[in-house]
Amino acid sequence: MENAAVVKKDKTFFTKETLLRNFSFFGLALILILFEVLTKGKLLGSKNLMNIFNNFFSIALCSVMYAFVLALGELDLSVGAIVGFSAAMAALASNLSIYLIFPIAILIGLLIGSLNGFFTAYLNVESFIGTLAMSFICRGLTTYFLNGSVGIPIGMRTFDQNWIKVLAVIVVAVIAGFLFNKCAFGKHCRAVGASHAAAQQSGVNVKKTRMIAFALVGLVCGLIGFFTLVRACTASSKTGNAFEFDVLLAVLFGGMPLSGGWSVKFRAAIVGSLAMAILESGMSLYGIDGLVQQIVRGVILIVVVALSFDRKSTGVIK
Amino acid sequence: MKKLLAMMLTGAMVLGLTACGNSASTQDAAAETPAETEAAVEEEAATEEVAADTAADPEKFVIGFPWDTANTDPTWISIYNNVEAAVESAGGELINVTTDNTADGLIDNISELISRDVDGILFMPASDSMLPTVDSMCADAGVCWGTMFRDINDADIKEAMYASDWYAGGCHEDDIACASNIVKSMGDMGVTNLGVINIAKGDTSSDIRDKGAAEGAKEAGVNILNTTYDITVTTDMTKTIESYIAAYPEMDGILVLGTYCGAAIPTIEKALSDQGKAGEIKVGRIDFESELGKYLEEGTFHVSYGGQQQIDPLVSAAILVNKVIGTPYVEDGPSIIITPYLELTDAGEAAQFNEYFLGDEAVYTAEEIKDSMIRYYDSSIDKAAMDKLLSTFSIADVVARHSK
Repeated sequence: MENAAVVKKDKTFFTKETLLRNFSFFGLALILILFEVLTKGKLLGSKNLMNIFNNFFSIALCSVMYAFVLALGELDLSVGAIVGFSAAMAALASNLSIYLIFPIAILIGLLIGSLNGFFTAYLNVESFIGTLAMSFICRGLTTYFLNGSVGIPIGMRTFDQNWIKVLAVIVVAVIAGFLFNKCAFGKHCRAVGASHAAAQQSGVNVKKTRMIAFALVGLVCGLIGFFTLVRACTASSKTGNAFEFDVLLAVLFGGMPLSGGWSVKFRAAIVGSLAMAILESGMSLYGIDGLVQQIVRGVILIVVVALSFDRKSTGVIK
Repeated sequence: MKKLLAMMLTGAMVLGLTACGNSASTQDAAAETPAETEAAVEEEAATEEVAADTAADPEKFVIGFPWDTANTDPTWISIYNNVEAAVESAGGELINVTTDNTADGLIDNISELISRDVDGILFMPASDSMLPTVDSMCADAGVCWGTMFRDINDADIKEAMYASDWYAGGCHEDDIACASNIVKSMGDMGVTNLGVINIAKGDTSSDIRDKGAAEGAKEAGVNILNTTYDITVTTDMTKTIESYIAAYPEMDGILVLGTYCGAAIPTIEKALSDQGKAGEIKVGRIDFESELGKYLEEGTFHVSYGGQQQIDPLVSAAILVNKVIGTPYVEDGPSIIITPYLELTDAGEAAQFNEYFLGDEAVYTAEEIKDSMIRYYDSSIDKAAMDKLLSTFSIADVVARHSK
């Protein structure tokens, strides 16, 4: 009887529903195995693991906070510009004192994120439009203030240590995961994303929730700006260029719907970031040229969206 | 249906990846076929005979090259081909990683290449301020690095980099003189009011070309009306030209000091033509591109200074290769070579440029590079010899060497 039960359980494990529900994990495993085989084991070689981590680091840091904005059913298209602007302001502040680099990067990120939240929550500007506009403003200000590029003392590379970045990503991910899954704030975000009116009638402070979600993304973008700056020791008008698309691709790879609500899972941010990092590293290691890499990214995006979103009968975008 | 389509796309992607990859594993597998093996044995025997008369090749080495291989512009492809020829001339292997040519992107690229055990890295710096970081990374890893297209303008950074044991040097052009001369050439053509387009501010070449253009304009009495920076797509180029025409009715010249926008001149010509200004407004640009001949013939394009986009990366790669294999042109310090700009004002030359500079073949073949630029094979090759060689470089020179 017991054996029969086990057999029955095994049979039901690979159901269509299970496969689709865990599609992001299977996708990650597929990418991992595919490139591990194609690169003859070099992908997971000790030397390449740090490259994968470096690819993963910024995207994961942003994605875990981006989950709150996505849960609201909103978008933030300004993350790349915030990274660039906070790095630029921190680089300029280094002329006064190198001790200002970190606080300025964080404060600028928080400020821009809060402005995004204010426009969306209190002025009722569509997040797509508001953050796009903010992206233009930040890019313009970055170019204006930098007038090219600005370097910081090479000694600041001390902060580009693997252990610091590992610690940073763990701390940020744990805090974000806790907020998302265990705190009222995370539930409020999903409730607002599922139904704005219902959440409001249930006593959720929708405006405050939106404001905090965007501010958190801004804050973490400031942190990414700091790490980007200490890695290259230079900030330019191109810093953070197209970063918003990397983050969006990552969360989509992880199976996160842009329509928000209760179907947004925190794990998607981590899995998607990891899949993106492995994909980037694998393609580069295998010697695939840039043109084919773009095609592969596009094909994978279509495949992932096609397979992972119809199970809930929800649209990718509302 | 969606699932089926998705599965088919996945399958196509896996097949595509297998076909498109150019990793060593693919090459190894291919080399194992009997026909290839037989040919390889014969070739090896022939090589052994030749080896008796010539010096042995240097030890195998690998050069990393961050370059945007997604860009299908013929100039960008030719840059890659020229670097590859220089690396292969001494038996090296070239590894490419795709880059966005930003400072932080290049730092990531260099980190990745170091982890792939390259012996040298060649790149186009996005700014001077990124170079100390690159030098620090390369010094830690024991990897030589070289630059192409860019001089170091910041005096402090230049001093520090020139003192580095790991900086091989690089090739660049006299951008100030070039920008000044092309403005004066346009002044000689009667241009008095000039609209300018340039690469993003902060880019080393952009800043010094601005400076050169200002000097040339002052000397020639040309008024620079406006400069627009960082145009990377044709739609923005069109809008800029249309805005210039609307805002400055007195504009009689457009000069592209630099741009990463593909097909820049055809786009400008189309915008001018649409406004009925083609031929009336004189057009010039630094850096040759493939469509220039057509417009030179039509009389709607007037002058271009360039040709360095092929010779510069080739010589930059040769500098790095010589350093990596232990025979640098200059023993104490980096080898810095200035390549000449060529002037293009004739449709016939433009056609020759397209055929001999933008084709599959480098402006010096691997054999020619081996004979004339690799010191390992000929100890008389040094910086002075390189300067002398490059003083004869021209479109006619390449045609004479490569015409069949």
